[in-house]
Amino acid sequence: MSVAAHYDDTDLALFALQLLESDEHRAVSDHVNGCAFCRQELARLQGDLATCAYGVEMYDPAAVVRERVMRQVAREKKIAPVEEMPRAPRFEALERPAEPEEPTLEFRRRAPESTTAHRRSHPEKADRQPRPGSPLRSVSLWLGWTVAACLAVMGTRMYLQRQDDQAQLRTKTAEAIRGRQEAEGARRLLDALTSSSAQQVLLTGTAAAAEPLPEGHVIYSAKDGALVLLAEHLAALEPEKVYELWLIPSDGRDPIPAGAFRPDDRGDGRVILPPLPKAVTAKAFGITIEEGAGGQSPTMPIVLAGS
Amino acid sequence: MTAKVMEMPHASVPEQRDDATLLMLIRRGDEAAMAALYDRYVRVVYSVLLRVLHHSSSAEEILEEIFVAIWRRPEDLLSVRGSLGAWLAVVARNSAIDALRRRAPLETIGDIAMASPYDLSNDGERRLLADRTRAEVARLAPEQRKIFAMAFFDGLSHREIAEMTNETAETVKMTIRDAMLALRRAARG
Ligand SMILES: [Zn+2]
Repeated sequence: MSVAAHYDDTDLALFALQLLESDEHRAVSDHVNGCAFCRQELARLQGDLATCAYGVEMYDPAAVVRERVMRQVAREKKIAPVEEMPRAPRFEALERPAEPEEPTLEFRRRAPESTTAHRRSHPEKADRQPRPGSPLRSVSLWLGWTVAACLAVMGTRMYLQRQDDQAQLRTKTAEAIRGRQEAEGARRLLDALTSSSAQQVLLTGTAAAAEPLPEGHVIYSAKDGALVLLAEHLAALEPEKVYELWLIPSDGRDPIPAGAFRPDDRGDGRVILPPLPKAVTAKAFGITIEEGAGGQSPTMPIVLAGS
Repeated sequence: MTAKVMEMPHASVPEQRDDATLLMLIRRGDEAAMAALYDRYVRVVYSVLLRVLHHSSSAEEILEEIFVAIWRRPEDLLSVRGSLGAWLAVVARNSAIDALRRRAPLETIGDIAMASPYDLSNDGERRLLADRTRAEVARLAPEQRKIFAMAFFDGLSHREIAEMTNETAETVKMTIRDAMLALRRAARG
């Protein structure tokens, strides 16, 4: 984290309200982009803004507005199955393909230069923005918003160290899994994760990487086989590669794959409740970079590790 | 064909599908899902726009742009999930302020979440949040309420408000912050 002072919530509130002069706005924006702590506070303030908005006196628009919107919708018909891969699948633990088990479960070595791509600059963002001045531009800028930051937010050590934040952790994680089919079972696992018996492990990098240093937080309940990983500041990957989390059992058995994921544009990544066997005590956790959708045995080096 | 879409029964059967499901369907071109999403959130979007702009046809115009943008790029919203209702309310507010001040939208930070403890895709929770917020707003001191409304609904900066109210800019800033924190307590219930 930078040595520059954080913005206090007064300034962040004005920023969220978009009431700062453009140079001030840009300064806050630059800081917040690189500061998980201020992003966390900003996320809360954004939630407060939504609260404020819901306090207005409510009116329904004329029925003709609905007709106009739906007519426009019908006019812009979609070509049915648009199932192209999203550019950066966000944070979902990828399905592992049912590939045959590798005969050897030893760590493989890979040439070091292929481990990480450089952190991406974002040239692809430019083509997504409608022309400046269009009201749609704001909509589209806002469209990048995601629950991700909730989790990036949670991923900071500060956040987890706060005594009173267990309940929020629960809420945020619940948000992250809401809408999934397994949500009911997940809720049960969530209870396990937020109980005091769950292990919390900080994963850090070993190599001298660029600031801010990548880090991850694992919360793991062995009894239930429930796990959440929240990672931030991860280097961008080549398109065909994924990060994969490994649970290293304390009884000396082989590492167990615990979810593959790709970080988003900001370098935040997460794994929520991957399929894991129950009652495996963990000695450590590690994150490696793997091909495709992740493998069954980790490929060296381990980019983040913690025990 | 279009007439049929418009006559979709949107009030009779409560829509149970969550936002993520609707967005997935919208992505596949499901117009009925788009109508369901519209019905879920149009009230808050319109009401916020109207509160800022005081002008129904301007509010309607921006409302249409917001929903058509969702139809065009639902995939961008998939990750918003549980907080789509929060996001839309804030988008409505900011779009209205931009229109009011006739300015180009400011660059916003990507990937900042909406920390809302409510499931706003649920009718009951939306109403609950609205009720609690109104109650909390009513509890604010009149001067505080006025200053906050100038910032939130009129898009006036703390300096502009300071000039208009004869307070110091510092005081105005603190007042805005305090009002937001009071509303946060309201949201927590
Ligand atoms: Zn900061």
